[in-house]
Amino acid sequence: MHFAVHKIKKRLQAAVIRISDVAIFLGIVLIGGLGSSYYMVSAGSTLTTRTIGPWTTWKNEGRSDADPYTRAHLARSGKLNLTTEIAQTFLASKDTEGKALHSSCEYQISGDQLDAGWWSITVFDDNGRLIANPSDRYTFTSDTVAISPNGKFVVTLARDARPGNWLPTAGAGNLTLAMTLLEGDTTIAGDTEAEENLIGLPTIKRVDCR
Amino acid sequence: MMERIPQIALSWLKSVAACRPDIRLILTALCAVGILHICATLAAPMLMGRSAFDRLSPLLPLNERIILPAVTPQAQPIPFLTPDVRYAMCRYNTNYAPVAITVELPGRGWSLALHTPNGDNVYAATGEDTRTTAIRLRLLPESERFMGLTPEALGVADTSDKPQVVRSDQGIAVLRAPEKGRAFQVETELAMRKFRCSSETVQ
Repeated sequence: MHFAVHKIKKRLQAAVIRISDVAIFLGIVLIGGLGSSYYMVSAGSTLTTRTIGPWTTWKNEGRSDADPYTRAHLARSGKLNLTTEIAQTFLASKDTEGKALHSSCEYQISGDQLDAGWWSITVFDDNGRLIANPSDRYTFTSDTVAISPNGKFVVTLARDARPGNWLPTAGAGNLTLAMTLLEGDTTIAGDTEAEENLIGLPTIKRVDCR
Repeated sequence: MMERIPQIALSWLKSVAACRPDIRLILTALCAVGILHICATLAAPMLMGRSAFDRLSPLLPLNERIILPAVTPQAQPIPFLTPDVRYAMCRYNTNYAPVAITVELPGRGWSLALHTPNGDNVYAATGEDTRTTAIRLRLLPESERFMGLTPEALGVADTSDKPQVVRSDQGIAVLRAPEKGRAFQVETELAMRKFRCSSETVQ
């Protein structure tokens, strides 16, 4: 009797070990497979994205020959972007020092007048929604931004009104900046595929936080 | 410290070997991770959220041009839709008849793009500073099928300029007009009204 109970106990132990092995195996496979796919679709890699300072763009967005990661990213984000053959949309959710953009801080986005045919800078919350504000200001374009005599421009992101090119951030929390460059003889600094006639994308400098 | 690295690596390898890892199991796990990664990535467009086409389709009548109001927080149908331009859209479907699109891009910042449900741009053009770009497109289904008789087959001499043919089953044609401020609003809207999108009559 005692021997039979011991035998059953041993068998149960073996079964539990086998089940836990299978569970660990499945856990590793699920986390590894789904996690790596999620990361590649959300954040991308050097194969699919191009990063210049705080700005990141998907290299093949909107193209018919786009890779599966770019396609999945576009479908997931719900964006309606122009093909990278004629336009590039850069997103930034961090400043030049790598700190997350937040509406409780003030930022200066400064750069030279770009050689792109046409460009724009827009501020969104981190879900891609525009930030409601009494001034109805959400964006500046190459047509509407005030350029200083030296050919440079400065756009200020702040909660309260600022002189010049001011984009209100209200109490939106985390922010995302979108910069669209429409076809032109645009070559971007840091883009190793075309390093002639370099231009720089704007820098995003944190001025102050509350 | 540097001299000790080979020793540390050796002792680590010894401890791993002591665990007697099942190489076949590790390889199987790696293969399974790879297969799941590929399947998840390829299935993601169908499983993850709603694409721009899915979100915009209910707002757009078929083969008809709609000029959207200026994008504001209250009128932003999809994420990251920038208010730097005004949008005119036409949801097209060429499965029953070809669709004709005519548009003029009067200057810099203007663009026309045909977005498929997957987000691909099957056609895209931008305006230029120095001249107005006139575009005439004839959208046909991707697969070859009978789409009516040609004018020549009907006995009519066709001397008109041929529109550019683009093959696409369905999607959204998007005209983007740069927002230059209130002073230019009327001028911009008048130019946007020249964007025409309609299905052709099949004879």
